Amino acid sequence: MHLPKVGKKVRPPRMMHIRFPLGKTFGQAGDSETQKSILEDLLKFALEGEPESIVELPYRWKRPKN
Amino acid sequence: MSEDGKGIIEKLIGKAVEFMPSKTYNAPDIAPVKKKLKECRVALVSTAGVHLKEDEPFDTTGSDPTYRVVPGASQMEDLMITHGHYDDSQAHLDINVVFPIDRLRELKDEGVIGSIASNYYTFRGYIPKIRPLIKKSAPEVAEALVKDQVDIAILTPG
Repeated sequence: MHLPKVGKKVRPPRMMHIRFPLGKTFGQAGDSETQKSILEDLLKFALEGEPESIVELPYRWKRPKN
Repeated sequence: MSEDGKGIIEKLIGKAVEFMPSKTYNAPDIAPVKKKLKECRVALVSTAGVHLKEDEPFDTTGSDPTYRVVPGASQMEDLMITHGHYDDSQAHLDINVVFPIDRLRELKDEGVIGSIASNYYTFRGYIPKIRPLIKKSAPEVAEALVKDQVDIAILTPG
Protein backbone atom coordinates (compact mmCIF):
# COMPACT_ATOMS: atom_id res chain seq x y z
CA MET A 1 0.00 0.00 0.00
CA HIS A 2 1.27 3.46 -0.95
CA LEU A 3 -1.29 5.43 1.05
CA PRO A 4 -1.37 4.15 4.66
CA LYS A 5 -3.87 6.79 5.83
CA VAL A 6 -6.34 5.45 3.26
CA GLY A 7 -5.55 1.84 4.11
CA LYS A 8 -6.07 2.37 7.85
CA LYS A 9 -9.64 3.53 7.26
CA VAL A 10 -10.70 0.19 5.82
CA ARG A 11 -8.88 -1.94 8.40
CA PRO A 12 -7.28 -4.62 6.20
CA PRO A 13 -6.26 -7.89 7.92
CA ARG A 14 -2.57 -6.99 7.52
CA MET A 15 -0.98 -4.19 5.56
CA MET A 16 2.53 -3.27 4.54
CA HIS A 17 3.33 0.30 3.55
CA ILE A 18 5.99 0.95 0.92
CA ARG A 19 7.48 4.37 0.21
CA PHE A 20 7.65 3.81 -3.54
CA PRO A 21 5.69 5.84 -6.11
CA LEU A 22 2.33 4.68 -7.43
CA GLY A 23 2.80 2.28 -10.33
CA LYS A 24 6.12 1.04 -8.93
CA THR A 25 4.92 -0.96 -5.94
CA PHE A 26 7.60 -3.63 -6.31
CA GLY A 27 10.36 -1.34 -7.62
CA GLN A 28 11.81 -0.59 -11.00
CA ALA A 29 11.20 -2.51 -14.21
CA GLY A 30 13.85 -5.18 -14.50
CA ASP A 31 14.90 -5.04 -10.82
CA SER A 32 13.85 -8.60 -10.12
CA GLU A 33 15.92 -8.77 -6.93
CA THR A 34 13.98 -5.97 -5.22
CA GLN A 35 10.68 -7.22 -6.63
CA LYS A 36 11.24 -10.68 -5.18
CA SER A 37 12.51 -9.38 -1.86
CA ILE A 38 9.36 -7.27 -1.37
CA LEU A 39 7.12 -10.17 -2.37
CA GLU A 40 8.86 -12.44 0.14
CA ASP A 41 8.39 -9.81 2.85
CA LEU A 42 4.67 -9.71 2.07
CA LEU A 43 4.32 -13.49 2.15
CA LYS A 44 6.10 -13.81 5.50
CA PHE A 45 4.05 -10.95 6.94
CA ALA A 46 0.84 -12.66 5.80
CA LEU A 47 1.70 -15.54 8.15
CA GLU A 48 3.47 -13.73 10.96
CA GLY A 49 1.82 -10.30 11.11
CA GLU A 50 -0.56 -9.49 13.92
CA PRO A 51 -4.24 -8.90 13.02
CA GLU A 52 -4.75 -5.43 11.52
CA SER A 53 -1.09 -4.61 11.92
CA ILE A 54 0.48 -2.05 9.60
CA VAL A 55 4.21 -2.24 9.01
CA GLU A 56 6.38 0.04 6.92
CA LEU A 57 8.81 -1.74 4.62
CA PRO A 58 12.41 -0.49 4.87
CA TYR A 59 12.96 0.11 1.13
CA ARG A 60 13.60 3.64 -0.09
CA TRP A 61 13.02 4.87 -3.61
CA LYS A 62 15.99 5.86 -5.72
CA ARG A 63 15.45 7.69 -8.94
CA PRO A 64 16.58 5.67 -11.92
CA LYS A 65 19.81 6.85 -13.54
CA ASN A 66 19.22 8.27 -17.00
CA MET B 1 6.16 14.69 -17.73
CA SER B 2 9.13 15.17 -15.41
CA GLU B 3 9.65 12.99 -12.33
CA ASP B 4 9.00 16.08 -10.16
CA GLY B 5 5.72 16.73 -11.97
CA LYS B 6 4.60 13.14 -11.49
CA GLY B 7 5.53 13.36 -7.80
CA ILE B 8 3.38 16.44 -7.24
CA ILE B 9 0.40 14.84 -8.99
CA GLU B 10 0.79 11.70 -6.88
CA LYS B 11 0.83 13.77 -3.69
CA LEU B 12 -2.36 15.53 -4.76
CA ILE B 13 -4.04 12.23 -5.63
CA GLY B 14 -2.92 10.78 -2.30
CA LYS B 15 -4.37 13.73 -0.39
CA ALA B 16 -7.67 13.61 -2.30
CA VAL B 17 -8.26 9.89 -1.80
CA GLU B 18 -7.72 10.16 1.96
CA PHE B 19 -11.27 11.47 2.11
CA MET B 20 -12.79 8.92 -0.27
CA PRO B 21 -13.14 5.58 1.53
CA SER B 22 -15.67 5.37 4.31
CA LYS B 23 -14.26 4.37 7.67
CA THR B 24 -14.79 0.69 8.40
CA TYR B 25 -16.09 -0.06 11.90
CA ASN B 26 -16.37 -3.82 11.55
CA ALA B 27 -13.07 -5.24 10.42
CA PRO B 28 -13.11 -8.53 8.52
CA ASP B 29 -12.35 -11.71 10.42
CA ILE B 30 -8.71 -12.65 10.47
CA ALA B 31 -8.22 -16.07 8.90
CA PRO B 32 -5.71 -18.12 10.89
CA VAL B 33 -3.07 -19.93 8.82
CA LYS B 34 -1.53 -22.99 10.41
CA LYS B 35 0.67 -24.02 7.49
CA LYS B 36 4.28 -23.17 6.80
CA LEU B 37 4.95 -20.80 3.90
CA LYS B 38 6.46 -23.61 1.84
CA GLU B 39 3.11 -25.43 2.07
CA CYS B 40 0.92 -22.44 1.19
CA ARG B 41 -1.06 -21.87 -1.98
CA VAL B 42 -0.75 -18.23 -3.02
CA ALA B 43 -2.89 -15.91 -5.16
CA LEU B 44 -2.47 -12.34 -6.27
CA VAL B 45 -5.43 -9.97 -6.13
CA SER B 46 -4.56 -6.71 -7.80
CA THR B 47 -6.17 -3.32 -8.22
CA ALA B 48 -3.60 -2.26 -10.82
CA GLY B 49 -5.99 -2.70 -13.76
CA VAL B 50 -4.20 -5.76 -15.16
CA HIS B 51 -6.15 -8.09 -17.44
CA LEU B 52 -5.72 -10.56 -20.30
CA LYS B 53 -5.32 -8.82 -23.64
CA GLU B 54 -8.33 -10.69 -25.00
CA ASP B 55 -10.58 -9.63 -22.10
CA GLU B 56 -12.83 -6.60 -22.05
CA PRO B 57 -10.84 -3.63 -20.70
CA PHE B 58 -11.95 -1.94 -17.49
CA ASP B 59 -14.17 1.12 -17.84
CA THR B 60 -11.94 4.13 -17.23
CA THR B 61 -14.77 6.65 -17.48
CA GLY B 62 -16.39 5.94 -14.10
CA SER B 63 -16.62 3.53 -11.18
CA ASP B 64 -16.00 0.02 -12.50
CA PRO B 65 -16.60 -2.60 -9.77
CA THR B 66 -16.03 -5.59 -12.07
CA TYR B 67 -13.08 -7.92 -11.91
CA ARG B 68 -11.15 -10.03 -14.38
CA VAL B 69 -9.84 -13.56 -13.98
CA VAL B 70 -6.17 -13.99 -14.87
CA PRO B 71 -5.02 -17.63 -15.01
CA GLY B 72 -2.11 -18.36 -12.68
CA ALA B 73 -0.12 -19.69 -15.64
CA SER B 74 -0.38 -16.38 -17.54
CA GLN B 75 2.77 -14.86 -18.98
CA MET B 76 3.66 -11.17 -19.11
CA GLU B 77 2.98 -11.03 -22.85
CA ASP B 78 -0.61 -12.25 -22.26
CA LEU B 79 -1.43 -9.21 -20.12
CA MET B 80 -2.17 -5.51 -20.44
CA ILE B 81 -3.21 -2.68 -18.12
CA THR B 82 -6.29 -0.46 -18.26
CA HIS B 83 -6.30 1.97 -15.35
CA GLY B 84 -5.43 5.61 -16.05
CA HIS B 85 -4.99 6.79 -12.45
CA TYR B 86 -1.31 6.01 -12.00
CA ASP B 87 1.87 6.20 -14.06
CA ASP B 88 1.99 2.75 -15.65
CA SER B 89 5.08 3.37 -17.82
CA GLN B 90 7.28 1.03 -15.75
CA ALA B 91 4.53 -1.59 -15.58
CA HIS B 92 4.33 -1.63 -19.38
CA LEU B 93 8.03 -2.47 -19.47
CA ASP B 94 7.77 -5.06 -16.71
CA ILE B 95 4.38 -5.96 -15.27
CA ASN B 96 6.10 -7.39 -12.18
CA VAL B 97 6.40 -3.86 -10.77
CA VAL B 98 2.67 -3.99 -9.94
CA PHE B 99 1.75 -7.65 -10.51
CA PRO B 100 4.74 -9.88 -9.65
CA ILE B 101 3.75 -13.07 -11.48
CA ASP B 102 7.28 -14.01 -12.52
CA ARG B 103 8.67 -13.45 -9.04
CA LEU B 104 5.90 -15.60 -7.52
CA ARG B 105 6.69 -18.33 -10.05
CA GLU B 106 10.35 -18.19 -9.05
CA LEU B 107 9.43 -18.51 -5.37
CA LYS B 108 7.33 -21.55 -6.22
CA ASP B 109 10.19 -23.11 -8.23
CA GLU B 110 12.58 -22.46 -5.32
CA GLY B 111 10.20 -24.14 -2.88
CA VAL B 112 9.60 -20.95 -0.85
CA ILE B 113 5.84 -21.32 -1.41
CA GLY B 114 3.86 -24.49 -2.06
CA SER B 115 1.83 -23.66 -5.13
CA ILE B 116 0.29 -20.88 -7.20
CA ALA B 117 -3.47 -20.41 -7.36
CA SER B 118 -5.37 -21.53 -10.44
CA ASN B 119 -6.41 -17.92 -11.00
CA TYR B 120 -5.55 -14.40 -9.97
CA TYR B 121 -8.24 -11.72 -9.68
CA THR B 122 -7.83 -8.16 -10.84
CA PHE B 123 -9.66 -4.86 -10.45
CA ARG B 124 -9.21 -1.29 -11.55
CA GLY B 125 -8.55 0.42 -8.24
CA TYR B 126 -10.68 3.48 -8.65
CA ILE B 127 -14.14 2.44 -7.48
CA PRO B 128 -15.88 5.37 -5.74
CA LYS B 129 -19.25 3.56 -5.78
CA ILE B 130 -18.32 0.73 -3.46
CA ARG B 131 -21.69 -0.97 -2.90
CA PRO B 132 -21.50 -3.34 -5.93
CA LEU B 133 -17.92 -4.12 -4.95
CA ILE B 134 -18.91 -5.04 -1.39
CA LYS B 135 -22.13 -6.82 -2.30
CA LYS B 136 -21.05 -8.73 -5.42
CA SER B 137 -17.48 -8.58 -6.74
CA ALA B 138 -15.50 -8.97 -3.52
CA PRO B 139 -17.60 -11.88 -2.15
CA GLU B 140 -17.38 -13.65 -5.52
CA VAL B 141 -13.61 -13.32 -5.55
CA ALA B 142 -13.33 -14.41 -1.91
CA GLU B 143 -15.50 -17.47 -2.61
CA ALA B 144 -13.39 -18.39 -5.66
CA LEU B 145 -10.20 -18.12 -3.61
CA VAL B 146 -11.63 -20.37 -0.89
CA LYS B 147 -12.84 -22.87 -3.49
CA ASP B 148 -9.32 -22.96 -4.97
CA GLN B 149 -7.97 -23.66 -1.44
CA VAL B 150 -5.81 -20.54 -1.46
CA ASP B 151 -4.01 -19.92 1.84
CA ILE B 152 -2.56 -16.47 1.16
CA ALA B 153 -3.95 -13.71 -1.07
CA ILE B 154 -1.51 -10.86 -1.67
CA LEU B 155 -3.37 -7.66 -2.57
CA THR B 156 -1.27 -5.44 -4.80
CA PRO B 157 -2.16 -1.85 -5.73
CA GLY B 158 -1.20 0.05 -8.86
